[in-house]
Amino acid sequence: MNTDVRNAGRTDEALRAPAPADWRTPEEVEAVAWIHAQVAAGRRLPVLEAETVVDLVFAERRWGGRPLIPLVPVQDINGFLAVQAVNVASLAMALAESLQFDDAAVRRVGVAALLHDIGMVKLAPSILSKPDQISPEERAEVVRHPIEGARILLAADASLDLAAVVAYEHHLRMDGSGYPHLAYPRSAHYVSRLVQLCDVFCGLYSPRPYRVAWPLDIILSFLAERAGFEFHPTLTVALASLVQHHVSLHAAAMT
Amino acid sequence: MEWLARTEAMEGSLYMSGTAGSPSVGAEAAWRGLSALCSHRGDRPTGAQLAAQIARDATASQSMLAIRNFLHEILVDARNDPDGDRVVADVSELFTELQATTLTAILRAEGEPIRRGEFVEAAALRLSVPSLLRVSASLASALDRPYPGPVRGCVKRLAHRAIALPPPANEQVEEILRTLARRLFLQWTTAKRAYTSQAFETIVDKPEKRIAGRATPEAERVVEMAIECDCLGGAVWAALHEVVEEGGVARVIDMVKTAPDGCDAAAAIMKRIGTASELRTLLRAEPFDGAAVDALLRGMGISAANVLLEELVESTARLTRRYLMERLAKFGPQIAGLVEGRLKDQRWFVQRNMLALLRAAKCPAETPLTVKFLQHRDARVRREAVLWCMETPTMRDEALVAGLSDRDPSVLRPALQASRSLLPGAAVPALAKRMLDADFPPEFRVLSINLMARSGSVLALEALLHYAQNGKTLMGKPRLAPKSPEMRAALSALARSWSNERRAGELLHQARRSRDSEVVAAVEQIREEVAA
Repeated sequence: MNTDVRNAGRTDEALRAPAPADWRTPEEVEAVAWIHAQVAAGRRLPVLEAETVVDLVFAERRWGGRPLIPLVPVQDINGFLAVQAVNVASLAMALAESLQFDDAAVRRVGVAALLHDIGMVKLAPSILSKPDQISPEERAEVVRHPIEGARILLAADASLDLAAVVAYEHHLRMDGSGYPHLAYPRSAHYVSRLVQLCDVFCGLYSPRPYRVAWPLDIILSFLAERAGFEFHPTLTVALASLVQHHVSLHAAAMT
Repeated sequence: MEWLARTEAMEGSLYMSGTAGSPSVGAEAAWRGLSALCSHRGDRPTGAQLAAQIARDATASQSMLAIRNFLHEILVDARNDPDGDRVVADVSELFTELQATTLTAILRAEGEPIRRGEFVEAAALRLSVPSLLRVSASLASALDRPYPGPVRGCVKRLAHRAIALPPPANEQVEEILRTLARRLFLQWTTAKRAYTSQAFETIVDKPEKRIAGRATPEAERVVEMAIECDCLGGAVWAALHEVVEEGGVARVIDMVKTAPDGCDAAAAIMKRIGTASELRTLLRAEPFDGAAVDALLRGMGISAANVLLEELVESTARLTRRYLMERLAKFGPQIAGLVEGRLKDQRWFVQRNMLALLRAAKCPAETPLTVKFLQHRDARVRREAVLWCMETPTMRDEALVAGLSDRDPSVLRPALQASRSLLPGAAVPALAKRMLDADFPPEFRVLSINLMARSGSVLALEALLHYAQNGKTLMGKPRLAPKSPEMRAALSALARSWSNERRAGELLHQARRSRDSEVVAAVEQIREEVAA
């Protein structure tokens, strides 16, 4: 299947509530942006505040008819990181719930998903917001973000072991490629795979300055093609089921 | 109510403010109001009335402290009060009615920090959700805590969901909110712990227990990641603790061995697991993992010596003891002090092993202890003492004297062997005396005779004659001893060094006339050698 959708020109909003006319940045995004700013300024990660956001996302998921991916992405890169963090947390928690994780585990997954890209805040803003291809030097900086993220999380709190592992491993692929390089070869943790999948899904589902958002069916095909090589196969199937379930709910609500 | 009795007893002291000794009108009214709040009377004050009474005295810290303590007692007692829910509801209403400044004054009131912590914890568990929000906002203000607007907005929305969601989701969210509030309060009210070395030790030595479950990474994975990232933290120490608890020390050591160069985290982990107890566990493990122990020893250095010594003392396995001796010896003379301390142990095998270790570690035998062990009652200990002392130049002669005088073959043998190269003059009398003993072991006689012959000492003559001569004939001439290796050796020695001595000459004459060619050869061969 052709997955080149850069010119597809449409956004499938089945999983996301449409932005209201008086839309303003939700508190959880602002809170995550504030958390990112704290870390970028070299302060200790505000763990409780991050958990507050996850608790809110968890509570919101119990609010009837809530969208699977709750937030509308923004073009500003800092805003995008915060929105993406909340969206990935929401989707990852939903996927964990569908996989029968208990509530405490779902929230731990949520914290890990929310903070999986925390290492990105250490990157120079010029790299983050660059619309063009990044240089090899800049790429070397970018591929360090899992390490930076793990360091931030390990230093922050003893309860963030899963979050640190996920931050560290979320770019490792099933076939052993990806980054960072592991001195002790091992496969990524199950939750790292889960967050990785949700991260890719949410990323493709969001428009970026250099491309439009991908349609759902193309995203699901893209993930399915890479299941077993790049993504965890059973998680890919579980995510597809979850998404299709929400699409059918959305369709039923529309009719 | 219990709290009432307690607080009544305090009346007139805590509940005074303003002029010393004169009760504050506002505090007294508030006190009466709070008392009434907990009663079953119909004329209980409303939250608004009570809030107004408390507000009158909001500037008096002591009064606010008293009010806070009251409220805490009320919330605690309400748990066991049949009417507790109603009381908590009234207190919650009071909190929603209190002005922000009054509530802040209550929370800001000086007093024991722990009491304030207990109060906010009780409030987090018991107050209604709206009251909880007011307390959290005021507490943040009272403590000048950064409580950013967005986070406050999240908490507000959580509170809204806790109220508006249908059951059981609302209860679940309320529970989350209370837990969150309690944690926020505790974080705010607990004095910030200085990152002292003591605090660090607590984190390292008594890490929090990790939560088991699907959303918990394997402990080994966390440790591997920490080394790869070169980063530490509470999560790493907790994971390391778990790995070690489950007997994975060897695995951690492997990780550290293959860690990238200059990895501080690996060094710190090695230091952490390089403890006496871990080493002891590894030394007693079955099967024994020498490679793991070696890795641990490299990390621990000399600090491992005491544990190794303990195990050397207690181990019943010969192979383990040999391993321990080798590893301890590698520390060199720096372990002398530790080993000498162990010599106070009265068990012979401990003393023997320690002396052997001192020798192996090339520790100089220059302490007063050595003399004591050269005279030890147990030959096994004396042997090791002799061996050790012989390797120290200043003690060599003394050791040889002791060894050559020893009645035990196991001590004598090494002394004789050491004397082959050089028998010091000081040792000649000892050996000469010993050779005359009836129990002088036959296997050492030839060697001893040869040593004595080379010494050239006058004292040697008697010993040589003792082995070459067997009394005298009826004619008064010396009689040759029965042929034996030592007899021939003694004759040779006499021929080499004492042929001019009268008694020796007579005996040598007899020997030359012997019908036994071997006896003749023993004498003639030497004469030819001397002539040549």
